[in-house]
Amino acid sequence: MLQRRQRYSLLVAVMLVFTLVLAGCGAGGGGGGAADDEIILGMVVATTGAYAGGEAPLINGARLAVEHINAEGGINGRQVRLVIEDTGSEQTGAVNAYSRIASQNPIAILSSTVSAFVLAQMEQIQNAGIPTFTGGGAVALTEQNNPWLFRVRTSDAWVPVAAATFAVEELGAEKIGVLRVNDQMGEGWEQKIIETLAEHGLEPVGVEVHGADDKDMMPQLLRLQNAGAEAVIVASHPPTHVVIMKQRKQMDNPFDLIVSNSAMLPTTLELLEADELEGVYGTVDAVPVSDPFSSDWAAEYEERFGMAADFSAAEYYDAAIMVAEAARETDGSHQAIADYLHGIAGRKGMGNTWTFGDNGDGGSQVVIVRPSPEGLDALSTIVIDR
Amino acid sequence: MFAQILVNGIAMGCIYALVTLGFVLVVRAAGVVNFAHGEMVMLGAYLGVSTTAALGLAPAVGLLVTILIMAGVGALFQRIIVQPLHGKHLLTIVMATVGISIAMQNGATLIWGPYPLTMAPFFGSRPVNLLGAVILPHTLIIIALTGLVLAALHLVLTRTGSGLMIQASAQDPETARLMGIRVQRMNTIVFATAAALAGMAGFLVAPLFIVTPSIGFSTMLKGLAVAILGGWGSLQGAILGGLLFGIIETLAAAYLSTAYKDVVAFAVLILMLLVRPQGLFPEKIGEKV
Repeated sequence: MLQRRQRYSLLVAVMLVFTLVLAGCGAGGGGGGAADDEIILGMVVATTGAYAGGEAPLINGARLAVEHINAEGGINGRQVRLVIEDTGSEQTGAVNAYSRIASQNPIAILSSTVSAFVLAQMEQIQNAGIPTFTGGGAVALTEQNNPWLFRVRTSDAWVPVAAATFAVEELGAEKIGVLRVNDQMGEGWEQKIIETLAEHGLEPVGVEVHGADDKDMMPQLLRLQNAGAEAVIVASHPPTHVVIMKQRKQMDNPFDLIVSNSAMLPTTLELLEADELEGVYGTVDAVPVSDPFSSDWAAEYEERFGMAADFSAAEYYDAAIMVAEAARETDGSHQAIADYLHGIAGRKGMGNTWTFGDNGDGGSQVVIVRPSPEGLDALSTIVIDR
Repeated sequence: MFAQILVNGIAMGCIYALVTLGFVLVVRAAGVVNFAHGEMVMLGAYLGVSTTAALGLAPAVGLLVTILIMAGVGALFQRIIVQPLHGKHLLTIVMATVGISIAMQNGATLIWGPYPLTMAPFFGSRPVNLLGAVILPHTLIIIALTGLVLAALHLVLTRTGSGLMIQASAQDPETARLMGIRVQRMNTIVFATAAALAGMAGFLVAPLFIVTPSIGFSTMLKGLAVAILGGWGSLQGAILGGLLFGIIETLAAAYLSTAYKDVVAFAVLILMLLVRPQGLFPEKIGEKV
C-alpha cells in the first residue's frame, strides 16, 4: 500500500499532468500524422505563455480559412486539417515545435509573429523545404533570402517610416521622441525612425528604452516630456502599450502618441478608457472591419469568434487561403507552391495587399488609424510601390 | 519631476517588499525557496479582476476576498505540495515548486484566457496633484496599505503568542515540537500568510500593470534580488530592501538611463554583496540553528 506521503506525491503528479494536458488541449491542435484523404496545414504559435494572447487571433484566422477551404471541397478533393504546436512563448520551444510540425509533412507552416523565434527557425525552414509564413516584422527575416519563408505582414522597413512621416507631415510635430522595447523589433523601429526624421532635417529629441517586463513607464515618459517632445513614436508589445497609454494620461499636457501595430489589437484597446485614447494614433496593416473588401469577412469572423477581426488574424487567414490556391493551381508540391507564392503581386487580401517577390516580403500596406472605444478610424492608407 | 519619480519608486518598492516578505517568511519557516511565489502574485491579480470587474464587488471587498482565497491557496500549497516532501532533497522541493509554477500559469491561461486583462484602480483613474507630483490615488493606496499590513505583521510576529510560536518553529522546529508547538500547523499558517501577501501585491498592481499569466515571474525575480539585498531570511531586510530596490530602479531610469536601469539596480546589489555579503539586515546566527 502506498504511504500517505507517496499518495500525496502521486496526487500532485496527477494534478500537474492533468493541468499540462488540459493546456495542451487548449491549443486545439490535433496530433498524429495525416490520413490519406486529408492534408495537414501546420501552425507554430504560442498557446501558452507571454505571447499567447497576441497570437490567439492568428489561430482564429487560420481556423476560419481552413473552414472556408474545406467548405469549398478542400484541396483537390482532400480536406485540410489544422495542426497547432505550441512554442510556449520560448525560443527553444519554437524550434522544437517547428521540428514536430515539419515531421508531419504539412502542405505549409504558419509560424510565429515573434521575429526572434523565426530567426531561430531559419535553418530548419531552409532544410525542411516547406513553405513557411511569419507575421514577424523584423527586416532581418527576409534579408536572408530564404526561398521557403514568406512574410504575411508589412515589414518594419516601412511601418516605422510611415509612423515618422505621419508625425512630421500630418501632426506637424518637430520635436519627436522615441520610446521602444529593448529587443530586435524596438531597435529596428528606432533606426528607421531616425533615418526618416533625418530626411526631414530632424533628429529625435529623445530615445527611451524599456525592458519587455518593465512595469513602470513614468521615468521614460517624464524624460521625453522634459525633452520637449510634441509626439512620441512607441514600438512595444501589447501589455506595455497599455501601461504607456494609461500612465501618459497622468501627465500634464501629454504629447501625442503614435503606437506600433500590436497596440491597435481589439484585445489591447479593450483595456483602455476613452480619454486614454485621446491623442493616440496607430499603425496597422489593415482595418478589415471598415474596408469594404473585407467587411463581410470581418463580420463573419466576429460572429464566429466573438471578437472584432484584426489585421493579424486577417493576414494568417490570407496565408492559408493563398496556400490552398497555390496547391489547386499547381501540382501541389512544396516547390510548386513556393514558386506560385513568389509570383503573387498586388493581390488584395483581407489583411494586406500581397506582393511576395523574390525575397518573400509579402505585405505592402500601412494604415494610419485613430482608435476609439468604437474601433479604429482609418486616416490614411499607404500602399508601398514595389 | 523628482517627487513624482520618488512616489512611483516607493510604490514599486512597496510591491517588491510585499512579495519579498512572503518569500522570506517561507524561507525562514520551511527553508524552501518557493519558485511558485510569483504565480501567487499572478493569481492575486486575476482574482482582483474576477472579484471587481466580473463579480462587481467594491475594490475593498474584492481585496478582502482575494486575501482570504489566497490564504487558502497558500495553506493548500503547504499541505499538498510541501509537507509531503518534508525531508526530501532540497532540489526535489525546488523542482516541485517550479512544476507548480508552470501548472499555475497554464491553469490561468485556461481559466482566464490568453488575452491581457485589467481592472479599475481604487478611486478611479483621475490623477491628483500632491506636492508637484501628479499621481494616481491608487499609488498612495498601495503605499498606505503596504505600510499598514507590514506594521500589523510585525506586531503579530513579535507581540502575539501565535507569532512567537511561528518564530520558534522557524528557528528550531525540534525544540518547538518538544515544547508542544504544532510545527506543521505553524508552517501552514506561514504559507497561508505568504500567499495572502503575494495575492495582495497582485491585487494592488493589477490596475497599474496589465494582468497576464506571466505577470508574476519578473516580480518573483526582483523579489529574489531584494531578499539577497536585504539579507537572506530577514524580515526587516525584505521591507527595506524592497523599498531601496524600487527607489534605486526608478531613480536610475529617470536620471541615468532607461536602457540600463536594471543594470544600475543590480550593480548596486553586487556592490552591496561585495561590501556587505550578509545583506543589509542579516539573520542572526542564533536565530536559526
